[in-house]
Amino acid sequence: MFDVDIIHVGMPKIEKPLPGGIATAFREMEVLETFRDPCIREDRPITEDIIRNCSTAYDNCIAALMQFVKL
Amino acid sequence: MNPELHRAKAERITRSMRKLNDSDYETVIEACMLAGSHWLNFACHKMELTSPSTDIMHAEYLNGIHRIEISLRTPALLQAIDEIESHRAGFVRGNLDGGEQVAARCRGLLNLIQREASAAKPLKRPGKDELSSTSQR
Repeated sequence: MFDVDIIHVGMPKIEKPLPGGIATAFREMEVLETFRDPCIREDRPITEDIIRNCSTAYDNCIAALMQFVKL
Repeated sequence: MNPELHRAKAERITRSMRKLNDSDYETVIEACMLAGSHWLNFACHKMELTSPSTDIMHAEYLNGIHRIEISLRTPALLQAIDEIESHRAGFVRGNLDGGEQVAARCRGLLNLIQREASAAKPLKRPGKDELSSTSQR
């Protein structure tokens, strides 16, 4: 078990196999990270497609993680 | 990225942030950091410290020479952005108490950063005449 929080996908690097839901969440987070710097810090235009991709990735990420959350 | 695009991004992020209350402090602090980073780049490009092809991602990644030069020329700007960044780990990623007060503080710091960055200009270099008159003294 790590004694730190995950800051970004791959930080810290996790060597062990990930449970399915976590692996899905990481993949969706990577989609968000793909757009973050180019669109927020740099000048890549933010299109309807990008907004849709990010919204879908975020929804998928949360859905994948909800199995680990007790409400 | 050129200075005017940094300004446009900073103003756009600030406009979005104004829709939030201080109780939404994680997003307010994050927005202040992002908008502040754009103003920092705007100022560095205007002061001709960095070229538009070299943007700074975080003030903490500045090298020692840049940090000293910015500190000398716009000390309040660097202090303000350093303070916003210092709140990020504890209040955005962590769960420290008092986030609303920190959000209000960060909004004020961002206003200060905007004022300082807007006033940034290249260092005046002595002209030929000034150089020759200095050397004759």
